[in-house]
Amino acid sequence: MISIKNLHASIDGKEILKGFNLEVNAGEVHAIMGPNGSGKSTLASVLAGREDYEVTDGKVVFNNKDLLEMSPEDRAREGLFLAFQYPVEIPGVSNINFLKTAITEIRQYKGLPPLEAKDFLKLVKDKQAMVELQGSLANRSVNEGFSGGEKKRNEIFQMAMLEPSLAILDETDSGLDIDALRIVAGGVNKLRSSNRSFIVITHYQRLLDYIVPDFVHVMYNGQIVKTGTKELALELESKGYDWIKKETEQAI
Amino acid sequence: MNNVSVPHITQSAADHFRLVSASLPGDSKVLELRTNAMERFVAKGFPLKSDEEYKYSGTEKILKDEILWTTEIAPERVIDFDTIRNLHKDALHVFFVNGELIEQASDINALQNKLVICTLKNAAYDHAEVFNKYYGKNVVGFDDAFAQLNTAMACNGLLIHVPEGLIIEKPIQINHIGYANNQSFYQQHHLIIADKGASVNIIENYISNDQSDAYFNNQVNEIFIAENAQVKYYQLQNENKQVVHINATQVHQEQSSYFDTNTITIGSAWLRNNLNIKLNGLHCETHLNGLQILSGQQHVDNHTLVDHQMPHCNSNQLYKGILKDKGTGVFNGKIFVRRDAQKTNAYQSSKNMLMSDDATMNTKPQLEIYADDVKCSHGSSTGQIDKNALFYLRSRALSEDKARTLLLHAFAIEVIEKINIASYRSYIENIIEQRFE
Repeated sequence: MISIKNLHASIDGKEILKGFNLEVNAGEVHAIMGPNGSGKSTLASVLAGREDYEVTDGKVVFNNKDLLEMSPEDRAREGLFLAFQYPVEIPGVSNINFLKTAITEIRQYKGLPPLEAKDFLKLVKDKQAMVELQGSLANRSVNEGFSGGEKKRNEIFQMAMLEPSLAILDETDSGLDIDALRIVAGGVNKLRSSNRSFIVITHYQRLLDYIVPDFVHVMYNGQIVKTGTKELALELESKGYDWIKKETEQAI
Repeated sequence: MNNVSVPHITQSAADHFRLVSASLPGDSKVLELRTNAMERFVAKGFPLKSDEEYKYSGTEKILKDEILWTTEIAPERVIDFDTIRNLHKDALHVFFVNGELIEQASDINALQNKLVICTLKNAAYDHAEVFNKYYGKNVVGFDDAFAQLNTAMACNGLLIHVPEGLIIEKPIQINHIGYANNQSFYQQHHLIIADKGASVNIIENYISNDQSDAYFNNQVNEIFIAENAQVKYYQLQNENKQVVHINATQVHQEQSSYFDTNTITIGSAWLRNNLNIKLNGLHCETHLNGLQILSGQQHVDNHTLVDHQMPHCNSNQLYKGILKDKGTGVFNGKIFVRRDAQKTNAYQSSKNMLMSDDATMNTKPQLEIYADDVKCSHGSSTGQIDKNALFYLRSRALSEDKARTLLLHAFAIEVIEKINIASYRSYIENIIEQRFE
């Protein structure tokens, strides 16, 4: 699905990713955990194509194509989706119109005709139900005046609508109460399939009670320093990140 | 072009006035008013950069050596009136070409059985009492050279008089088609009078033929809104990019009256809007909205003045600009709250988006408040397209162009949504959408 090799990236001359490696196969769920400032969100931004970051070295192959050569929109059309840590409010752009345009663009890229209006509306209705998003929110401006939980649910709603092959969830759990967390995780679980992969970036183990990962990676100082299964997440929850930092520094 | 010729043109205006003044519409009192206006114009001359009110819009750059004060005969046969009608079918249409009414193409007869609508020239004879009573009265206190010049010399334009209690449902769309040669200077002057409890919706649509050269269009609109009357007054300024357009709208509101205006500016090379609202009764409500989308070297200057003279009135202003290339914009909004105007609510907002490094926006909000129990606010912001929003949309598969268009449309829609005539609103939406493509 995606193969990230020796990825180096910096912002304003400061290197954040320092030789990041990860292989994700179809259908797998990988969690990336780590202390603040370890480069988790930078990784998400670089993969989605944010231009503020400069990739200085490395290679990323997504569905057999060179991801780093693609514009952000082409990455999305190829099936990459980023659920933002801080979804952007866009007053005046209706959620529904924007999604309709997005779906049309993706279908056009794949050589498919636009969805019929009734099929689109049915899709909206089904996916809204899936993330328990109120109909009125879908008709409002993108994220405008949404609560934190509504914004995150809207991200998952968009993900459900766009049906990506690889979804990156950037701290989708931050700031969510337990009910919202269950709804968001429930939405993700319904979308899990043998041909869809997830990279779940989180600071806390709690989310992984609901979205059970196949692998857990610990990121520190721009690299993956430890890989395990869901038990590693539990260990991190009880022991914190300091021992990882220590281990890493000793290894150097 | 240098400043030396500005006095020369001022003099040529005065000479022309002497020649034609006896034949201008109105009685001897109106002629006196015209003569005074001409004297004030000559005393002031065309405004230069040194004039505080024209600081960013000095006329040094736009005045030519010679100006033609007479308008030429309109080549009406080359104009496709039906196409203009079909763009907004829900309105009754009136057509002017180079400032002259084209009566046979207009719906004057359909309108006339309900209200008074006629040219200024006819008004001076057929409705002399009304004409002589109102002409120029709203301009006297407005010390602006262009408005004075127009008031002195104007012989074209419309009298629209809505008698007491009459409600005109269909909007009246006045189409101004410029087809003039270089250096023509045409001036129209409308009198719009809504008597007690009357209601009327007026749209002014300014277009010019693509082949048309640079010309000057200097217009004054006097709007009198009596007690409990309503006027919606919308303008679409869409002349070609060589035209110089100066527009003064002078509004006088009486008790419990309502005024709503929306000015969409996308055309002309150099454009100045003066919008002066006098709230002269209790419980008046007034809404001023404007959107400008500029490109190339366009220059657009919106000057507003809302004069709260009486208590319990509300005024609201929203002006937005999208400036591309080397476009320059000005917003100067003044709110004046007199000592008696307690319980005033007056709000003003100017928001602008610069799309290039060479675009410029000058904003100057001015509040002068002499009453002590009022709510007034103003805000002004000028920025660029939101990069985070742009990336967000692109990460959802929208091309950069499409994302940009969507964001610009979202920015503009706030002003367009305030248009209170549904058919006209969708007409404007279509035009704006084409501008973004």
